[in-house]
Amino acid sequence: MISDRHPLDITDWYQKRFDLTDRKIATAGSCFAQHIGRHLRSKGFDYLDTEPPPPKLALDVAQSFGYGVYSARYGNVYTARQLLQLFRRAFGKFTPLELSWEKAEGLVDPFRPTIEPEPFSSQAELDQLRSYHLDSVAELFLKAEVFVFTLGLTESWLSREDGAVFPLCPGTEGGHYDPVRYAFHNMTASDVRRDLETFLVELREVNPGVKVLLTVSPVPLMATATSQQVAVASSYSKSVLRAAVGEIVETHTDVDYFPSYEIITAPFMKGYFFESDCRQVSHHGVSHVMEQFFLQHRPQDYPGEPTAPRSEVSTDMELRERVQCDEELLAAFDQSSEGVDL
Amino acid sequence: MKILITGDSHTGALSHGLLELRTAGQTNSAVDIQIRPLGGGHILPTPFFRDVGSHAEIVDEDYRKLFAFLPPKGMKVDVIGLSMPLWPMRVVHQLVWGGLSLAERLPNRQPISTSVFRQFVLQDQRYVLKLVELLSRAGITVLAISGPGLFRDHHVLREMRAEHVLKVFDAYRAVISEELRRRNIPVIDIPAKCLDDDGFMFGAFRHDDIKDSHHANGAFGALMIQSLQNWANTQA
Repeated sequence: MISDRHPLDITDWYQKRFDLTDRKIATAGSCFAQHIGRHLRSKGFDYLDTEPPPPKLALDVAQSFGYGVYSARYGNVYTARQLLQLFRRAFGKFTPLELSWEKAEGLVDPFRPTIEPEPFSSQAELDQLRSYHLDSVAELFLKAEVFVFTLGLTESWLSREDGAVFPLCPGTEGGHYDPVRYAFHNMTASDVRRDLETFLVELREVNPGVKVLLTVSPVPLMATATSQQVAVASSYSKSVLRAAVGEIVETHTDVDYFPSYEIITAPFMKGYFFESDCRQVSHHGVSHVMEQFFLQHRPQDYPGEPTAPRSEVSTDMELRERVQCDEELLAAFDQSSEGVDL
Repeated sequence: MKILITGDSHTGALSHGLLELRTAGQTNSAVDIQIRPLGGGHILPTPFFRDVGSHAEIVDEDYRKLFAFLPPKGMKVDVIGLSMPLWPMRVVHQLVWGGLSLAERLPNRQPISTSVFRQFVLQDQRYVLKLVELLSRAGITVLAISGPGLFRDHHVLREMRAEHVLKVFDAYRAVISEELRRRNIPVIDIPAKCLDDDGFMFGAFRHDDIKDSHHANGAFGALMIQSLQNWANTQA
């Protein structure tokens, strides 16, 4: 019975299937997944980041370049098909024909077109960065002990040539829309289930012990490429995702589901956690979702310090150079000899 | 024309060069050049001054020992030459010791894009560029005086192959040169005769101290001062 309880007093949303303690956790998914990763990190869980920000790059700058947002720099992964293809690309099982999209004076990666604020300067640069990125993704899937994935969308844009799925419609953040080359596809529940099943099989081939925690984003669609009213399209999308995930969780004991979608959207929550645009989840909502999560996954004693950077730049060599600079100045100038008041 | 040159430790070579030219009677009497350092370049990426409108009040304790204000209140200057913006080594260190590479995959290094690299450079020079803007706004003609190029025996080349380090070094200079161009700041750049075909500094311009692999000597400084005098002559 929930009718006799205040919505915020409901604390039995979720019973965990497995523990996260002392396990390396990786996250991916649609925008809402960013909150999950950030909270896991801040609570001191063993958060895996195989493509970390370069040392000493300012945090806000790093995030604007896609560092530290997820466990590697793939940007938002909205669909199960996109996740499956990301995995296959990382392990060399799928090489899309589409290599780049033109944008302004440069090129973007069709599979993460907004990962940097500015396009890459050349195909060679894009290729080098993507090669490293995909190796980092492979490392992530090999090392993760828990993989958290938030499904966000069913609506997809894909290549008619090889079925490659793009996170955004070609032409929006690079490239040009061409109906001969690209197609819109709204995934069905069986599509999503099949993609997730295949992903789980292939993931376990390289990492047999990994646990998977699925969530569905509570953020409704902002727009739809279908002819339906956006609320109707959103209902379809979320229903499909929720049903597919439900079936997966029923048949896999090492896959868990955390109900972030329900905590925000359940009717008795009365839309309380949406912003005034009735779409974005407020920070109160995010906090409430994560509180429910942490009721089951108790954070460990948290030292309050982030993981140490890989290396400090202030090396002996640099210090020596600094000393040399001081010596150079002392040698070159007699600083007390001139009487000008500066 | 009264020119004040200030900045990092590379003002040392300029000072030696000016002295050599004065001794040889090769200075232009119409151009009064004074060189006074601000201090070590490692402080430049920090907020070393406060904008007080017509002046930069130097707030860093070390720098403040040498200047209280720029332009200095006790000295009238027409031009300030800054030996600050065109010395890439801090960011070169960040890449070399930080396990990074510039837009290319190298063993055991994480490649960063040219855009990320640009952020590193702008982060490194953000206060210097603010100083440039402040001085320009105060009616001072500002110019940038380059440090030397990369010497082939610089210690970072033991950690990363020379061509990769030079690529970073040059990319830094290109980013800052563009920023200076956008602000209409002239640059007294490294004379072509100082660089070999690959773009490294000739050893003849190396600092006399065998252990110092990144500062230049008075010969380089003299060439830079001559370039500065030539620039000054065109301003008359």
